[in-house]
Amino acid sequence: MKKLLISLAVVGVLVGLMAAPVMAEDVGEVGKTASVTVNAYKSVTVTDNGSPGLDFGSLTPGTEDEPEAASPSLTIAAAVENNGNVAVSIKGTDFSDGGSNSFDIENATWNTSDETGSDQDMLETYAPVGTLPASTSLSIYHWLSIPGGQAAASYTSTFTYKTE
Amino acid sequence: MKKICLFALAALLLLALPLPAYADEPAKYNFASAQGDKELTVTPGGEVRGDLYFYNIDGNRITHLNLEVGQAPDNWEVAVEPPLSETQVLISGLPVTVAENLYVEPWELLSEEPQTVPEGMVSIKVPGRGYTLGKLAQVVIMVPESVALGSTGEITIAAEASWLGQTGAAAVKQARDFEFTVTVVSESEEFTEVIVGEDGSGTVSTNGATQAAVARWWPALIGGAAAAIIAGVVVSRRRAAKKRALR
Repeated sequence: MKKLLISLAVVGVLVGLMAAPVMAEDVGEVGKTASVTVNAYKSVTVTDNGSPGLDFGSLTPGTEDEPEAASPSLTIAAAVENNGNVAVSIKGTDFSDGGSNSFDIENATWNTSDETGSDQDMLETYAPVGTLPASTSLSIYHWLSIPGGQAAASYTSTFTYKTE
Repeated sequence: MKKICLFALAALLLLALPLPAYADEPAKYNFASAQGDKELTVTPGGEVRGDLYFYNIDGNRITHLNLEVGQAPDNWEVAVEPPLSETQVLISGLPVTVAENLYVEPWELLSEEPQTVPEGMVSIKVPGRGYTLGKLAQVVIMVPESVALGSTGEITIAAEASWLGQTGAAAVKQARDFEFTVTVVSESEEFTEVIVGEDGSGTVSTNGATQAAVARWWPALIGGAAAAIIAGVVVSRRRAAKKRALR
């Protein structure tokens, strides 16, 4: 009887030694894929620091680098809830009187500081302005030149700020 | 009488003083969005919807939104709901017609989720700030029956936000693109995995996990069988020894 019990004990140890790594391997391989969707929040506020709409006043042909009425013209702010940086870019449309008179958008310029020496021409395609992390802002300054000989009329344009 | 007259004169003088004019708050053009799942799945011939939420808690002007399909695979039908329509607006009393998909009025921040939501609006949780009411636009994507399983399509929705009442030479707008990736999947919910051999044949395993587990337990099974054999030999020898002792 004693020998039988000893034999069974040895057998049990052998089985346990062989099975233990298998069981551990089984436990280690058990896993499930977890998934979650995090919504993308993006909120940008453009504050018009002057009267609504960019205002350059009444200008004569040949005027160069007339600043917009407010300084800075606009303040672009990224909200606190944004969970990513906002890339800001800018483009514009040609100034037009709604009829046959117009002049190129390149006559308008922009800068993130009030220095006209480093200002950049507005274009009809998007040009990068900067990147805004959440809770940050940047200032935009605008200037306008009027081509010599430009016909007298009331001209309008649209400045679009891509914020994504 | 003299005192009354002096008092009345003082009152008139005070009323004649120019009252401090409240400076108009600068116009704030807010374009706020929240996008749900960017990765979508659809079955051949089926339809899937992507959600875009819009709200306005930092602006003081109504945000008017135009949503267009900028990019989509050929033969896929992609549309935005609500569709483009005309909205009548009064700007300082003057009627103006605006073509837009939806507009979002400035709304207050709420500390708790609202119990009731007006028709056409949705409750939006704004991280770290609370709740507000906004609007939902859906991108409806329908794929042809012939589209291949596993193929993907890139959808881009070009959004443009505008604000009325701008009287200057240049009006300000904001623009933003929203992207969705749509993968075409099978209608069947049963998982299958096929190892394709060099000759193109394949062995389908619909329950590979069970087979793998059995294969790992082979050493234990062999060990158990060996233990049973050893135990059997020991027991039989003991019985044989007993029988010899009894003779």
